[in-house]
Amino acid sequence: MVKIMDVQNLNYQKFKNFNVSFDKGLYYLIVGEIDSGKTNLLNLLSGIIPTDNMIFCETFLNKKNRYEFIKNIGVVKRVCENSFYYQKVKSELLEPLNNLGYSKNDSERRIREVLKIFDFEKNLNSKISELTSLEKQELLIIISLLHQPKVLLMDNVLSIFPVDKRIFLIKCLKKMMKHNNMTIIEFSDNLENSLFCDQILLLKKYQIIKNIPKEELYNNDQIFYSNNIEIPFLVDLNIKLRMYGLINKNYDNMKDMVNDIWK
Amino acid sequence: MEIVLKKAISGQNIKIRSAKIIGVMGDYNTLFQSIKGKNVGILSNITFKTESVYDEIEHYFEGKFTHDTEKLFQDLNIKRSFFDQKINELSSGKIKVLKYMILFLQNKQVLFIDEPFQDLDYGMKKRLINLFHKLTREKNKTIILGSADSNLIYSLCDDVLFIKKDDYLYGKTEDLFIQKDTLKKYNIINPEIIDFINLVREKGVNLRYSRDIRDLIKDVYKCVKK
Repeated sequence: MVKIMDVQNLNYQKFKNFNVSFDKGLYYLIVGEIDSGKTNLLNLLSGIIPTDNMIFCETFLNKKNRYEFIKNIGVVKRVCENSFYYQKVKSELLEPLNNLGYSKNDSERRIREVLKIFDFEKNLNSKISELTSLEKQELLIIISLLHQPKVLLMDNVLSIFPVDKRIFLIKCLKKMMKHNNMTIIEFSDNLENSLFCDQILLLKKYQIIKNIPKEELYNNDQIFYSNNIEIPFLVDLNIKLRMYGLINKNYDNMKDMVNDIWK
Repeated sequence: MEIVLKKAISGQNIKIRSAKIIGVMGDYNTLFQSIKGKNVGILSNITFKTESVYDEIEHYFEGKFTHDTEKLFQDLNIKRSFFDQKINELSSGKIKVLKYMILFLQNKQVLFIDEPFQDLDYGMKKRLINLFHKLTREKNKTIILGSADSNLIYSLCDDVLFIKKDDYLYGKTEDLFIQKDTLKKYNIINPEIIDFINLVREKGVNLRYSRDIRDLIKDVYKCVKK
């Protein structure tokens, strides 16, 4: 696997000798309890908090290369009062591409491409004030993807969506991952999306204490529970049914599980 | 005993059982935004007036901490160091915890809480669930939780209120969630535990509708070993 982002000996506030690396084209889920350092880590990885040659993504992040570095990153946080500059959706979508020097035609083509993937075209000519809060959050996700970032950082944004919408958004993000060989790093306080990711990292007091492929979640449930991270229902069901000797392998869907238990 | 939510949905009054945990699902934003009353506490309406956690608590309660206040801090596992923190330095999870502290200390009889566990870890979720049960059983408070999370509402709430535009349906959680047509009508997604139970029942196995995974596993074991 090719590395896309590398953090070496990060020393900043509560992060001491912090190291982590991320491979191209994978979906990482970083979980941690309250105050484990998730948002701080996201702010450091995104370049929002400037550091000096400790974080690499196509180039080292430092004062000289900050702009080059942040061009590779997309960041999406929870929608708030100050999330939008303009009144119209179209203006918000054009802004980041204008800033990067896209021509009008290229901008509009790119916007149409991404809106189509997210089935969001109907909102193109709306005012921001006409959108629901979930649509505003979805718009922020879309905006963060327009400039084709190498790495997308998401700060606990998917958990506000109902489960069917969340699954739809993850499918859209995975399509974008495939088209652009993009890496996703999602920060969350729960493992709801663990079934969709490739790698799970557990953050505790500004240190990564576990870094496992998602398949190993079944053997590591206790460490997550003991660090206040809840296991998703299907994973929990698999673990408990195995403990009772009712199944002897892990299932990623309930139908197959039930069919095998009651052949 | 009952509580009346006056003109809750398109001018209609809704009667709900008091001293229970009530889940509200569907188009509940308007309800939560329009609710008023002297004895009503609304988590999302809590705003901060000062700069530090300690000053905020003092502002609301003029330093009148009681035995109940200390007990609340213990129940939520609030450490002394939390009080020294500045509000603008708090994480989103800690901001929510502070709002909960203020909500509970306001001591209102009916509490409205939208997406109760968003931004909170599992440990705090468990503590709040224990506290919700305590407040309904010991203090006769009514706790109304708005959420899109069927799993949460099914496992935690005594009763549930489904809302779709001007239409609503209220009843006991274990009665309403097993009605497939009702869930479809109100666009409510099946809780995962019910999905599993329904798959088993389609096989002709009479598995009961449990609300907790531990009870479910015991029932599955009994059914398989029969």
